[in-house]
Amino acid sequence: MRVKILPPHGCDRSALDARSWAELPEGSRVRDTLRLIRCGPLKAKLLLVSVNGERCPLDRELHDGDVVGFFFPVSGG
Amino acid sequence: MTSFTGRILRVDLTTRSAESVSVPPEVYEAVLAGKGLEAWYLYKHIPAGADPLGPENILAFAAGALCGTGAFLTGRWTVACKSPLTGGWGDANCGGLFAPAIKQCGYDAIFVSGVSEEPVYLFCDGKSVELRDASAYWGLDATEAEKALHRELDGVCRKKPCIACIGPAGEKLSLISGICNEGGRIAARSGVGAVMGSKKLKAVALAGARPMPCHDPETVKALSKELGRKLLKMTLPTGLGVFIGAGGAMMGHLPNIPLDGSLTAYMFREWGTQANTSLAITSGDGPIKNWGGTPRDVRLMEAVYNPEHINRIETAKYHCYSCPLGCGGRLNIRGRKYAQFDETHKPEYETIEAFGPLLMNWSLDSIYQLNELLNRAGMDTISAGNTVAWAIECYENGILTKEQTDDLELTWGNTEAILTLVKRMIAREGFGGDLADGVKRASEKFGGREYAMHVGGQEPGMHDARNDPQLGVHFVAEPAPGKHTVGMSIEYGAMSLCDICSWAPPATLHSKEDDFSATVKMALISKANACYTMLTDGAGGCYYGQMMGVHMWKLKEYLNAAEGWDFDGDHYMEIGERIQTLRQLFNIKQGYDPAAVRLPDRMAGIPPLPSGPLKGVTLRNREQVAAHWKAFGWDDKTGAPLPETVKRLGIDRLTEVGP
Repeated sequence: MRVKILPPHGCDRSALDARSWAELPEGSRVRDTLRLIRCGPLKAKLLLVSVNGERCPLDRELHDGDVVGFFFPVSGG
Repeated sequence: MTSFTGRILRVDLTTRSAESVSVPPEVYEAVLAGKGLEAWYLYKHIPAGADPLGPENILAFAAGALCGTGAFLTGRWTVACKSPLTGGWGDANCGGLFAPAIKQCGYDAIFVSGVSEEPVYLFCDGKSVELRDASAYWGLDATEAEKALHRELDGVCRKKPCIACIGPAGEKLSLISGICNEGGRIAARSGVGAVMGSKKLKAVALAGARPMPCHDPETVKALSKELGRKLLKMTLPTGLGVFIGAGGAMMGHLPNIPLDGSLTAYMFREWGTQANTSLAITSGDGPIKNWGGTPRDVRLMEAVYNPEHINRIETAKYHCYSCPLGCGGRLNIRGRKYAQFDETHKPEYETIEAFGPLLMNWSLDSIYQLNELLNRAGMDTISAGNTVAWAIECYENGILTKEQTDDLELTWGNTEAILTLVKRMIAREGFGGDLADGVKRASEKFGGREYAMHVGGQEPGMHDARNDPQLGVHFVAEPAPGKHTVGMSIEYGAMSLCDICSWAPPATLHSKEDDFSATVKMALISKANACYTMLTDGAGGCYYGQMMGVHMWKLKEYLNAAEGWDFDGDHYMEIGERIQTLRQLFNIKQGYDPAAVRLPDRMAGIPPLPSGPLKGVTLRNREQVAAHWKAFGWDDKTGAPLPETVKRLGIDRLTEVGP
């Protein structure tokens, strides 16, 4: 399945295509996208995480076409 | 069935006549409604060389295509005319309940031409249209006039009317005046209030109760339900606003990244636009000291304008029609220093920035008072703030003397003097009267043109192009120059337009330096921003909905459902391109020269600032504007749309159909 991922500053984007989409296996969860963009657990704790504009926990299951956003609340983005 | 009523109302104030006219469906398919319908009509009907304050000018009020369909964030109404401020296309928009009121009268838009001999107001209830005597309301501020009209009308109308009116600024033909609704909300830009004042039209009162059509209300409802469910969950812990200034300082030094636009909703829900103030002060986004200062000049001012201070005195939030976000609020300001009123609207970011950091003014209490004064007067806070900033800098540099300023000690941050000057601008008294037509006219009279920050005659919104060069492109290339609501780099990174439009470049992680280049990619980004904004305006959508991005606020899906269409993103972007090209054609017809519009040297970084987040920045604005025009298929030297572009967009055929 294809998922759009919008990583925060300082993460690895090399696994994403030019439009920020990535191929993930069926059954992947938000936590898996953190691994994909090499976002460490400490940084992950500081992030607001959303799927399709809805805040969610890291174990939320993803579906084809989902948009996963990460956001540092105090950086404005 | 589509969402359009298919009819417009034409009112001639000179002959005191009105007629309902039908509009062919192909017009709506080409330009939607709202600003698109206005662009089509005004381009056809305002003769070249028309006096903006004369009978030939037409003042248009329009609702967007999606208004009344159940689509969220589509309650904006747009007013348009030939601008007396710039001599070209003029428009402004506002929220509240006035947009659906237009449609509930059975019209997509109202076009008012001619000039009345005596003050009148236009009344329409969907059955009859009347021009009524408004001499009892002439001279009242916008809020008092609206209250008085409600006292006259509420008991006798089947439905409580919605009212848009001018205040003293519009009556006195201030070229920086706007049109107000719902207690001082204001469609502020382009001098639209002066056009209404010149027509002696005090107010438009709409009390229709007709149903508003929609092709597939169930699908629209489902889209809104999904959006609403997400937005209602978007809350932040109280107190977080104190960190925003620090966040801005970080942003000033970080590269740009694509964002999840939906997350902007947190800020608008929690604080409204005023959340941006402390972020703007520290990041370089907000102009300081008449666009010549740096955050160092106002060190720690972000603490004064911490959004939590304002939230603390908020008594109620309010929403525009069809908006679950609710970025507006009412503030209790009773007993605060300078306050002559008990309450005011929560000041917008633009107002706080224009009367705070721009003037080096440290008094938040004075902002509340200025906000209410200007809202009631119906005067644009952006233009007024820029004009006062010019006056202060001229005074500080000896260009203006105390005799000329009518004894006002116009020094940076002199709150009392700022308040007095604004009151005199509203009353058009003495020196204040000279400033009531904006900074261009004032500098032509008194000198100090190097300190006059305007673009093509209009004062720019409170975002610095040296921080975001895309803003500089739109300040200059936008047919209504100086507007800050057409496109920004950070917004582009949040919208994911590349996911609906084949030619819109993907937003990528990039350094700030990349934004300064005049490449084809940058030109396509600025074009995509402008096209999508025009599409939003044609739909009557809110800029903050747009900012959430195409995956959250699904404009394309909304339009397809509401109109019964099956168009793709490229088709819709072409509608936006057509609207923008029509507006530019209007300018060319009126003799407005796009190539003569320039950023003031200071705003272009000539000379560059010596310190701060914008240190050393000089824009390549002329090159970027030329590339932007070329991307639109306009002449890259003159800005005039090329004949093949006009033909490609079908504008030649479009101007031959309909009334």
